[in-house]
Amino acid sequence: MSVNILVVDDEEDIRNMLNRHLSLLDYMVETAANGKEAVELLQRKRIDIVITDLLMPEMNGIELLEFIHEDSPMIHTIAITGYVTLDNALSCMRLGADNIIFKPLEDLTELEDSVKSVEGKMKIWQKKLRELRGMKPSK
Amino acid sequence: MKVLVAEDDRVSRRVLGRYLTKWGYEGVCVEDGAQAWKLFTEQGDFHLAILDWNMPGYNGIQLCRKIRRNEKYKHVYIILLTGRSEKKDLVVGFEAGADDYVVKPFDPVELASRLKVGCRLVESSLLLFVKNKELNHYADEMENLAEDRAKMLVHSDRLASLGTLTAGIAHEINNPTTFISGNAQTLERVSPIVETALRNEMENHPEKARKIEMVLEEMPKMIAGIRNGVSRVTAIVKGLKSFARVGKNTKEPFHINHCLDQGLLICNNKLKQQLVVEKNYANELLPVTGDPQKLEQVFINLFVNAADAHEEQGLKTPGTLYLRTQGFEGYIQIEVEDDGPGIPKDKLRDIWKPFFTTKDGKGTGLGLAISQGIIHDHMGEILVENMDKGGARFTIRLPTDEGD
Repeated sequence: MSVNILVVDDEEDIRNMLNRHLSLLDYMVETAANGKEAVELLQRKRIDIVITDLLMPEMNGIELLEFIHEDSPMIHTIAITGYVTLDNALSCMRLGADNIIFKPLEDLTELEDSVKSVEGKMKIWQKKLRELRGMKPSK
Repeated sequence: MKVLVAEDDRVSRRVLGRYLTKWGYEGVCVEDGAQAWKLFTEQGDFHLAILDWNMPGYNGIQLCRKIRRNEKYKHVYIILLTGRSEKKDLVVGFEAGADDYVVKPFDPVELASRLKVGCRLVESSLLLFVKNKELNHYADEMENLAEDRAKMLVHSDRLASLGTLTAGIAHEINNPTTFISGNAQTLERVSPIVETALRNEMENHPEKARKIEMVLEEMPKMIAGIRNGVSRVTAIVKGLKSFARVGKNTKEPFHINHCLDQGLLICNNKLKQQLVVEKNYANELLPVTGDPQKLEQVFINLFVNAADAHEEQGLKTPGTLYLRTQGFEGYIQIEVEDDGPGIPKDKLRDIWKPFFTTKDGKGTGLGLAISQGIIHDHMGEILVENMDKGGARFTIRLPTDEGD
């Protein structure tokens, strides 16, 4: 099963870079330029992981995390920010983000590892769900 | 009060002298105008003058004019002694600058009270003079103070806006750095695919072999170059951010020895290859109030500098890093000393400047600038000196908490 990732960043070059990198690692990647676009996309598509910048116009990353936390708690989130503050980090934690990674992402492996660990968690649940289906075969 | 008496009549001069002494004045008597002027200007500290109108040398009126012409003698009270009592004579006397007159032969009681009036006036004008001088002095002082203050304000304002600007720039650089770095990493990741493709291409088109060979060889180096650049930019941005953030401190009491040890722990890896640490800590030091993490950063900067300096010497044996702490009345002194090459004498002043580095592209040139800022924020001082036997010593003094 493929993992669908949504990359949200108002900087196009960063969006494209992450899109390329994650696509090359065989993930399905969508992009959005701000929180609002991301919310619209989330209504239309199945997304497993949202990787979002925090400082954005229209709707910022914290607001997006709030929306996801309330509306689709199944979606995993990873924050990326150049604006490193304790407040930001705590907000992300409170809103259930899996990680907060600081720009300039000098080493992308931290992001990759976060995505992989989310993927691992997802796989565990999928396995459980399969087992459940196995136990109660629907006739 | 010092009184000058100028009277050519011997008898009258002596009588006057005696009375003055009796009344408690310091009287100096001369017999003509020329002597009077000479004495008056030589001694310069007469408060009152009793001048006879008619004298050889200068007469009383001439003396009056001479005295009044000088700003210095403005306060001197002049009494003319005269046989003339006609109105027009008196006007001449007053116009010449006399303050009062006594008609000869004088009545001692009258002269005594007239002298008293003179004394009072001299006293108040002297007082006024002193006050005036003080006032001028204060005015000057205030003016200087205001000027200094204005300069300081301009300076701190400039520093503040520099801080804001710096933080802003640091931020703005972060975003482009992110995609330069990210793209380079992606390229690095896919380079095996590119390499395979290029090798196939080379087999199919042997005429392109030389160029493709070169690309294959250089591509990893180019990517490494980009990543190296990115990590330097990142280090500078990080440094700039903490440089701009100097001033916002958390405040808590902490122990400096512990802080030094924490610093050692953090750069243990780098240190152990270059230096042997020799600690000489004072026990029972009073705590320092401030931000222990920032102080730690200062120590780390100094430790890493010492390690780098030793590494640059390329010796086979490790160097020594001496750490000393000492408590004094009201402050703690910390010494961080190494036995490396020391700091070139002409660079001793420059090391505190932002972006000054001797590390040849390895350093950001911000470490000591930040460190100095942190120490100043803690109301302390940081000094540097070269040791005679080689090596550099940094001395930090930090105020301690009042023992309570």
